[in-house]
Amino acid sequence: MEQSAVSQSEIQCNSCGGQCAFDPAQQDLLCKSCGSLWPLATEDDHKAAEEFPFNPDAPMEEFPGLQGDQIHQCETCGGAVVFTGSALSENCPYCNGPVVLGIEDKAYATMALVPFRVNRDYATHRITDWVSRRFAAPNDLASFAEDGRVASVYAPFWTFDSREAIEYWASYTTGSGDSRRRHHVSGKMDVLFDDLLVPASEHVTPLIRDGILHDFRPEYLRPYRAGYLAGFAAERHTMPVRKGLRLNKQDKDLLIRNKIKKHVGRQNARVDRYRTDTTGIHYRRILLPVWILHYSYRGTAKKVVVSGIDGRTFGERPFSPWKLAAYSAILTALTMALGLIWGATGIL
Amino acid sequence: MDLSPLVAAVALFAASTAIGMANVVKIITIYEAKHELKQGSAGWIRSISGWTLVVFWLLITWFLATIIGDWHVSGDLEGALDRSWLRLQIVLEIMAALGSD
Ligand SMILES: [Zn+2]
Ligand SMILES: [Zn+2]
Repeated sequence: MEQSAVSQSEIQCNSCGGQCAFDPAQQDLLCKSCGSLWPLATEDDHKAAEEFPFNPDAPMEEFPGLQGDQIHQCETCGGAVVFTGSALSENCPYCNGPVVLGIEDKAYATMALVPFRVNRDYATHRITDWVSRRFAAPNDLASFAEDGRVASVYAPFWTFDSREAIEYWASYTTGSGDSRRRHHVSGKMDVLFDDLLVPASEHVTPLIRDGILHDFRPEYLRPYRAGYLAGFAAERHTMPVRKGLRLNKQDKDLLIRNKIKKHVGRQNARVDRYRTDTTGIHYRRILLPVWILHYSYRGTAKKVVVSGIDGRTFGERPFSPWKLAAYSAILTALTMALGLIWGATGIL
Repeated sequence: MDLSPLVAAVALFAASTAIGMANVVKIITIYEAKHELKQGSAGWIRSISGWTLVVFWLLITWFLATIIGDWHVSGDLEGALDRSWLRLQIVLEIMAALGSD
């Protein structure tokens, strides 16, 4: 695990002394003054994918350390971000609120990150495309979205592995009318969770995660170093691992219940209760790259998020009440036509 | 000619259209989930759950329309309600089967 030594020297150009920034296209450092490219790859890069064991019964104390970075604190949402190199912006990448230089704060060491692969132009293109493909969106949505600001940030995540030995009790119904019966079943199954991504930030919701991060590839992970951060904002890891497990509880419960229903193999199966014995927890503390569009639609703040890895896009959008009413009226008219004809012909 | 069935049809159309707006949002949410959310993920499961309400809405609208259709042809509301009894059982049966989801 690399302690974050965000050194200014690492992002200074060796030939002209200018400031470098990470270049998503080349995956190298690019000098803004003379255009020199400085490779970041090392032979040890594969070690960045390493996972660390966690025992919930005997949790080792994690010690947050001072990281010696300049923290920018958002005055609106309280987010703490680090800008490596020249501060790009006076705005919070999450909520667009103003940021001020904060006091040095404690944070947990980040183990690895996936560097940006998608640049601003492509991200902006994906956002425009996503916004234009929304059904029942207000006609002026695109112009509101165009006025928004696109920000980049490395967002903090955990990956969790675990083995679940599950024992469950479920039920389902068969038959209809008076012959309807509820059947009770129980069973056992093993479930392996591999690299469940859990946002370690209040800014990234599980829904947005499921929209933009479809296949997480550990081989994309690189060591946490200044070179990859240069020119981008990064939110710090401020939550202990046990909090991550707690935050993931609801999602894990939902996933387990879904797997039990599949195991029972009945369309209408209901999970009455289950017990799971969790072992082999492994985790990583990582950063994942995202582009975020902040826009405001008639006074409501909304965001659209693009994965900085492959450009997958998901976000928040308003609906046009008139279009919803029109679609609803069409469905109602069709359904009523069927019903009226049915009733008029007296089939049944 | 008795205009009551027509008035009832217009009232049903207005009520069903108003109630259906939330269901259209649900339909779009499900469509987006199927195309954009990671299949089998927690967000995906949450987004597609609740689709039965859309079916309920359409079933109830259909059922009430059948009564109005019968009423319009027969001119006999009470008779139409009587004849809808078996249909109602089937609708309730479908809703019960979906509802235990
Ligand atoms: Zn240079
Ligand atoms: Zn903020």
